[in-house]
Amino acid sequence: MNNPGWTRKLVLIAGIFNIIALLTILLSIFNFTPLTLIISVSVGGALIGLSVLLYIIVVVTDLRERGVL
Amino acid sequence: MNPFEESVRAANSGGIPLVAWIVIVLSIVSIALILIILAKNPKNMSVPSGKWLLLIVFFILSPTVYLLNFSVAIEDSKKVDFCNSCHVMHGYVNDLKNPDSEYLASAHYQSRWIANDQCFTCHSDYGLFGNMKAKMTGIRHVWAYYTGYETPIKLYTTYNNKICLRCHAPTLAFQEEDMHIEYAEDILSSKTSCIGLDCHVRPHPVEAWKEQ
Repeated sequence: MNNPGWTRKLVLIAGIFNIIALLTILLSIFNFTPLTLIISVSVGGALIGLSVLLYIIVVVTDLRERGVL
Repeated sequence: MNPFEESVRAANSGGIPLVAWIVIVLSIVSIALILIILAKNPKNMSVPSGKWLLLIVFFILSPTVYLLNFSVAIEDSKKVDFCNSCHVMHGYVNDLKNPDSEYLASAHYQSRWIANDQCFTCHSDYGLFGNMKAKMTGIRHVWAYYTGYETPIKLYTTYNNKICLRCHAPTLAFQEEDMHIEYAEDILSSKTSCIGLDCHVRPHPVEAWKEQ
């Protein structure tokens, strides 16, 4: 991704979202209560989805800059 | 808890299940990869290997972790201990385990007429959609638990007799009972409840919700 700094920031945000999502999942494994379960399934799921979406934006931008798309 | 119940519980739980271990390992690997690529050296995200690793983490590892955790959660949330993790359920679960209890749920639990996941078995309808409906209701319960709920606690709708019938209907003792034959139609349509009147005792103590 040899492109503007904003794509790097997007990747960084995607990474942070992904780490938070995985931590909520680990929390629900080690402390399985209704609250941690719902947080891991809803917040964790949403953050994983968002990180995928952000990375798709970065990949598409990268491919466009290279003239592939 | 008596030693026998403790041993049964230990045998049933078996510690953290294999799938949960896979979730833990994959989560740690994913977090480590993200940290190595992004935090240690931001230039890593510009090289092809970094891009591919992030792609694998975001598109394969994390969604796999999420789905596996979902399957673990679906199974673990059926357990009596999970229901008992909300204070408002303590009275109900304590009664299940009370040797002097004469309530219907307690008899089913203590005699192991229902082997496992007793709360879930009696509070979910038939088949896949029954399970999903029970899970959705569970989410509603959690929401109510943290935002406030009306007391005394009661069912949203009349208890569905089909839940009792899925175990009892095939048995000869049930089929040959005169009262069951006489009221068969009403029992099947839940017009007449199995519980109360002169039929069967209540499943739980009326004031179990007060014991928290």
